[in-house]
Amino acid sequence: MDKSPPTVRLAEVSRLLQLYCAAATGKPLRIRSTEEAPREFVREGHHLPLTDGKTIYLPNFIEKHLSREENFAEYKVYAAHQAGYIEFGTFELDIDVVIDHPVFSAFEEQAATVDPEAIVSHYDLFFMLFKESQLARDIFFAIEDGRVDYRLREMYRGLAADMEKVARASLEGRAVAGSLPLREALVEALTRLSITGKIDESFLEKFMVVPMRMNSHLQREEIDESLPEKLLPLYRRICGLFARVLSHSATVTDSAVATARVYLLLGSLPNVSFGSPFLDSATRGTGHAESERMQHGIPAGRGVPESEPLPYRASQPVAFRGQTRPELVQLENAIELLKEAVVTQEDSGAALTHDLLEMLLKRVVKIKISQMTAKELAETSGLFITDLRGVLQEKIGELSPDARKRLAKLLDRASVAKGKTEDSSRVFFYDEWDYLSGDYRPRWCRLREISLEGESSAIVSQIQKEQAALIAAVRRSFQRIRPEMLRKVKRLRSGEEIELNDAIEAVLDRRAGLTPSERVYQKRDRRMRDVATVFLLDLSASTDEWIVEEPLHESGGPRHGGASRSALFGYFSLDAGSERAAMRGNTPANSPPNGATPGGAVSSGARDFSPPDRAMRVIDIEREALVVMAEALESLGDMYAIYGFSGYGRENVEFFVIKDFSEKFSERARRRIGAIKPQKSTRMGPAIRHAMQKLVATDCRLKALILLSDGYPQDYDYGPDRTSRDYGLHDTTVALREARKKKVHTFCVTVDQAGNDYLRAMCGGENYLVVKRPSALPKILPRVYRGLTI
Amino acid sequence: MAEKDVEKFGGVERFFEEHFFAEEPYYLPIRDEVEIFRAAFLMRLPLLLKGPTGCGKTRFVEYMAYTLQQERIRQGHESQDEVSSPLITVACHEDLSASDLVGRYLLKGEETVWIDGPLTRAVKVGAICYLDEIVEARKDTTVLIHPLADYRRILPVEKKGQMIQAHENFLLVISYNPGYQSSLKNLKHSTRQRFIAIDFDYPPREAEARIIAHESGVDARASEELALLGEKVRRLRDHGLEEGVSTRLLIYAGKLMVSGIASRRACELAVAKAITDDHEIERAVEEMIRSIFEK
Repeated sequence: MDKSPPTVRLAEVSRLLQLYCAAATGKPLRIRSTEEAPREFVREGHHLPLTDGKTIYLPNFIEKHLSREENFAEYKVYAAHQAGYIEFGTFELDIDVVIDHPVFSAFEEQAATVDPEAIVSHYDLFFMLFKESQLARDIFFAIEDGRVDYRLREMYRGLAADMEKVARASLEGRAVAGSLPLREALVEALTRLSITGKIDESFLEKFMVVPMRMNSHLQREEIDESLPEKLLPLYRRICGLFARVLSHSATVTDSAVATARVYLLLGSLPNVSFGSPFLDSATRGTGHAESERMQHGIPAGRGVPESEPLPYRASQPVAFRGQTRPELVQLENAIELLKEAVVTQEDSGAALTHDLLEMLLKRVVKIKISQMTAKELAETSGLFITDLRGVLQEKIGELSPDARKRLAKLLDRASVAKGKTEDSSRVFFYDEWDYLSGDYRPRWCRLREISLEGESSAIVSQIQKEQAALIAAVRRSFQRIRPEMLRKVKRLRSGEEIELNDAIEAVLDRRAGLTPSERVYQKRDRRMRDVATVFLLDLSASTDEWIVEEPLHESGGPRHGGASRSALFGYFSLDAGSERAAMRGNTPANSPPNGATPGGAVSSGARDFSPPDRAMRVIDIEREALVVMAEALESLGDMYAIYGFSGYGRENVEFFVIKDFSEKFSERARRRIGAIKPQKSTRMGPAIRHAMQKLVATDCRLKALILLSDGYPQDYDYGPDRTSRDYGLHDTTVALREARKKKVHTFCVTVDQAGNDYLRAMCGGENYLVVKRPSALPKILPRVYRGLTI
Repeated sequence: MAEKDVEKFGGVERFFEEHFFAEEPYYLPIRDEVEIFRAAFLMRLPLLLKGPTGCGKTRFVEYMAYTLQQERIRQGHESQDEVSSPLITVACHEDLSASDLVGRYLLKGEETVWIDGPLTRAVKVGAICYLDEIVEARKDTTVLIHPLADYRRILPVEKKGQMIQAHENFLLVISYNPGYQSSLKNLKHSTRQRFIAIDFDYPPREAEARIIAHESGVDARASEELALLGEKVRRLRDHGLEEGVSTRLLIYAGKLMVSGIASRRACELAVAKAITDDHEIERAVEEMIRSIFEK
């Protein structure tokens, strides 16, 4: 029926799986390729799925099966299992709860040897309780994965069928339990049991009553027929322990307890091959091990002396369950929480309370701070934090030397890990259009999202002050947008329907002998504002240039005709003089270079030009325009985001988040606006594509992307020929076209006076504007916005 | 049509927006909303019901209107034979004006006739007046209810130059869905601070399963699966789905299943396709359906 090749690629199904996992877990999980997974998470290679708690990493493609349906089902089972960790609380293991269980009294000795400084997560501590932590890990995952799969099968009866198929297939190629040394054999048997998840009365009975089958066929599906008879009582106990977590009410704590119990059982066994005399003594059997092994055709061990205990070898991973490392997930989650806490603290400006601090420390790392330290930390309440780390370091001075050392270490580790998460979780890849080959270069650009942090919002406050009049004017003009769009128009001579009250009045008037009004119709002209706009800011090095405005008489020359003649923006063609006069009237500080360079003595592009006092660079103007815009938009209530971009080379596209859609124009956002500064190159394509992703995610009816730049796109490897602009222009053109295809209104505003040469082609028609006088940008930008969004 | 047929087949011609109940409307209380409504009614405090579409707000008001009227009948305050409508509902829309609620003069032959609007009728007969989705209505209507919604309990009828003192059993109930309204369409504070507010959300899974079972007649297992589907799909609200699937739709799916449509297909029609036009979301919901239902 389906003629397309059966291979399913992740790119085709990632959004689907993403939505599926979001529905299953209620968390905004992302789906990415395992190749993008942070390196420290990947232990077993790129074919095994995993999660870091926020993203689920899946293989690039699946082509195991002959039909697309089956391959997709495989993907779904992978994703469902990883999502199942989150859904069923695998990452919520709390060592304090676990350790209270009586079974852990057996581990006290080992617990005492644990170095508290090495501990970074509950899971780390948990695995350290076991002398043979690899053994404990294997047991734990067999049990916990089994629990998660059980819950999945129970909750999703439809999915259970797919899981069954995948699970069966994954048994193939696994080592036969009987071929392994003792401990490994039992772990393998437990793993197989956990994979099929079939454990019921008849199963247990079989191992109680029926001895090993006499024929030597090892049926792989029958999980553990390969185990010698004498191990069966032990194996049955393990099965019994495992069976306890197969319940609706079992939690990860139960898995941890079962792990300890199984570990204790296995710990009593040496890891020797079957047939070793140890087997007999260990299991108190009757002693036919060797002959039985021969009879059953069980292969011998690894060819080492059979009585020697062998080092324990890690269990083979189960492909569909992947390689998730819960200890790292816990760490990531804790760091996320820390970041959030810091941000909310910062935004609210609230004091860092003792409770909060304690919670942070507790959640970030599992470290026991002495009572004494906690009390001292309690006294730090009342601090205002801008930087948790800084404050703590300051406070560290007041702590006892021991506690100080531990805290410092802990925060270092947290910040190292934090750096890692930032690196790994905020990297995006974008295709690039290569006009020379007429095709996209897939995943060509690596874009890193950087959250710009600023020191002070003083610049913004100053702009707000200086531009108060303009801000007020723009606000007033924006406020007029609201009512006129919301009202239904009445008292019309013609319209969609008769307005009853007016009509009756008209009739009454006529009866009364008055001249009735003819305006009895009404028309709906009602549009809710549902607008999202991205302001994408070119932060290239050239924005560092000082603005030199040409003398009045030169402006409006033939070069600058272009966009200002477009119908929509006709009113921008005010003559530059009056515009500037208006600017002067409002904001005297705004056009200093003019005053300072009378008669246009300095030509444009003067890099060495030393600025007079209060002169402005392109970036300053951009900043000013953004502040005015943001203030006005706050009053209008439209959604908007401000991003900057720069970078150097295709591997290093930088995307600065200045204000996200979800953020308010808060103190923090103001500081970020204050912090924008010229960076490196101008690779517009990936920045536009990334901004598009964000814009599309807002789901607003009207979406606009306004690109503020000062020149054509360029980067050192933007195309094979460094001196040619064509490649970059083509890529940008295509990126903007992609945006328009997604119903996004794009518009470029540039201060590059040569812009007309390329902008018409790049922006697809008249969606651009060359600002003749850069200093007028703050005044023009709101108009552009108005024109685009009404 | 003979009166009998009308009763049998529906199509009864009644006064606009009035409701009579032949039997007790089914409602499963989730928290203390029944007691709160009762207390509010006793004290004549107007009520604001907040919550998403199809979560049971209207049914709750119907249930309370019926229950309170039955109590009055039992206590002999109202006679069984000539009960007035206990509930008048108005679905507010963007063109709903004050005169739509209060009433207007209409032309009849050579003279004008005053026709009471639903709010005026409710104020006169002592019914519960339920203004559904109040924020959708025009601003002048929300101001109109102000004197009704405080201690005065009067309805000014501007066109007639009258004021009507509300009947003692009159109660004003409004509803509002804070989810999809933009900030431009919030209730004004002068309006909302005249009401006590009850929050509604979709019921928890177990309760929703019972509701689905009762309303649609599916068996316990299917109703649990439907409720699970509801819970999962609602989580997509942050991912491009404007509104989560309503209990109402889950009941529809259940009804389809009762009438013999296979579970997966029924949910596909009543849930996946009904709640979204976004192809990817629809597919994700379908995959969730395939996961939950065996066939």
